[in-house]
Amino acid sequence: MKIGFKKFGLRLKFIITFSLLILLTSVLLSIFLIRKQAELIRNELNEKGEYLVKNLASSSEYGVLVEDTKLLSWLL
Amino acid sequence: MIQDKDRKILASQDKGVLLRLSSKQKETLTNIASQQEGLNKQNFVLKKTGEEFYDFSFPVTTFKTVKFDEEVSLGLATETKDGQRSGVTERIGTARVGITTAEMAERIAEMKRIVIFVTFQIVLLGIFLAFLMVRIIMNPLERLVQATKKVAVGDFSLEVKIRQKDELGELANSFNIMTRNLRKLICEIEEYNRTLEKKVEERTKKLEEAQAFLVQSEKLSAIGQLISGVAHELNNPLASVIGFSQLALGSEVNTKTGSYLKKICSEADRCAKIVNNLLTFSRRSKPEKKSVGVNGIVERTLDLMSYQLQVNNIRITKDLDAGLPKTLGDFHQLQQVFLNIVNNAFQAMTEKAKEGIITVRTKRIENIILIEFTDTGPGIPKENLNRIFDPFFTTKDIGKGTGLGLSISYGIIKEHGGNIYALSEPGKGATFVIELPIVETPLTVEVTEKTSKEITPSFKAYVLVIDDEESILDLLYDFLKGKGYDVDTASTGQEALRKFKTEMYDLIICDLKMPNLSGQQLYNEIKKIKPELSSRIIFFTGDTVSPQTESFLKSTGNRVISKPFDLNWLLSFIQEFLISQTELKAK
Repeated sequence: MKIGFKKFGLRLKFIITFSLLILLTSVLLSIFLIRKQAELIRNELNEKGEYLVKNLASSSEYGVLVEDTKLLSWLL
Repeated sequence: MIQDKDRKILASQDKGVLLRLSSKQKETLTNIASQQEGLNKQNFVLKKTGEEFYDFSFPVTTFKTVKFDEEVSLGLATETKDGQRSGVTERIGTARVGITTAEMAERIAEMKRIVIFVTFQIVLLGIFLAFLMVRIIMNPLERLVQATKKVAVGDFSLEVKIRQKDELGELANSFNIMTRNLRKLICEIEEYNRTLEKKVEERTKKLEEAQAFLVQSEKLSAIGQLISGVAHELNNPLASVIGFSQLALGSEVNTKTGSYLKKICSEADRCAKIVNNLLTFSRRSKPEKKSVGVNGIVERTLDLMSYQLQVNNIRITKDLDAGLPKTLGDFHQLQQVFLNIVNNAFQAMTEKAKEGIITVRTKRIENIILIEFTDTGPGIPKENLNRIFDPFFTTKDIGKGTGLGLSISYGIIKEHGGNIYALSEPGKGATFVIELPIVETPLTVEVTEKTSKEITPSFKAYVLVIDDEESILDLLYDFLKGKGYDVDTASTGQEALRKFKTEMYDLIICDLKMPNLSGQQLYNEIKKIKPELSSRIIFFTGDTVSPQTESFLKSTGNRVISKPFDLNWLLSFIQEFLISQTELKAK
């Protein structure tokens, strides 16, 4: 492989080297970015669910006590 | 969905997610949710649709306060004075929210698409930029490679045009300078090659001329040796002729015989002068500067050439300044210069005409002695006037001149601190001008100066004459005997040695060149037998004095007389010598 690479012209060597470098950097950066973004979206969803359930629990105290289904339905 | 503490559903959305779960899933989720104290999150997948959900559950709590002994109050607790709610927290149910992850997955997928797209664009842009950069670097580099290939096959006409100001630009610039220099060098080499053959031809011609000069020098050297030998042979009989005719003149002869004898004496003197001149010219001596009279050298040179000039109808006109002072110079070298110029003038005149005039003029201008040789020859062309002193420059045919004569003359005059140049107009002859500086030298008395005063001996002395020439022995015997000296003779060195053993001489006149035992060897023998006699020897010779003989004479301090000699001068010389010897003895 090494001998084969040596046979190439300087132009081809430059192009292959630069292209591989750019490709590798871009792919690694993309993977990192996708993972980070996905994590952010998941966290956002979790926060949303937590916020909703906590609010619902707090608001439905009276309705559960008195078993007022109308009120509870309205809360939902 | 809201459940009470007995997991009974109090309220839920009609299309609630939990309702769509299987009873087993519902049971599991409900159990876990009802057992958890705080926030609980679970995910689950709908088997039918494959949808994924997040189930968030949080306990619904209330405060239990005891107002009286057994009366329990459930519900919103009253706030205490410090703002805290009083009572015990009690779980009364569970609030649950189910959120589908479809939207999140959609957002993530969208984000992935964007990132991949951007990455792809960036990669493309990067590759494009890489291409561009490689092009920027490689194109000039390839042009340079092409140019070097052309240079390698010998084409130096190509110039690499790179406008960049970076290292590649510098490289191209250096390359162009290199090819330009190579082009220049190749042009020079080609030019040199073109002229090389011409130069080789010139050098070959010069070498041939030098070889001819060497052959000529060898011939001259052989002639010089021949002249030296002949002169020696001639001087001995000449000494006899002059001596005997002077002796005869001293005796009683009639007027007619006297005039004949005078003519013999005068002609023999002339012969002696010619022989002397030949000896002077052929003598090889190292340059030695002494006080010399320029007029004398000119006269001697013209004497040497006089016969040759006369027979070729070349007339000599002399305009010599009688009051010319002496200067420091080498007699032989200056004679060589003058002889060269006169010989050149002679050759130039006889080539074109059957007669001519050489005018020699000497005069003093301030501190310079000016010597001019003017001829009536064809003159020197203007283009040659500056080259005549160059070595090997000659206009004569091969064999007639080497082109070294004037060059050597130039060197000699420069060595004397003088100057030499030529003035000429074609068809109007040429004038060679020599300027010599006047260098004062302390006055010296020339002991060997020949005078013809009549001197009679003031006291008697016993003289031994040693010479292999019988005529010289007879002459000196008769002359010295006639002047009142006791004279003894020896014709060989061996005979003289025998006589030394028995006799005591006041003066010994000894020839330097003798067969078997030379004058020098005899001196050494005398020094062994009778050392006191060695200082009483006067040597005489008809030959030039060789360097070895010269150093021998210098080491002994003895005097030397050259043949032929004037008898009266010889007498005064002997007397002077005897007086000095007597003075030495008295001391």
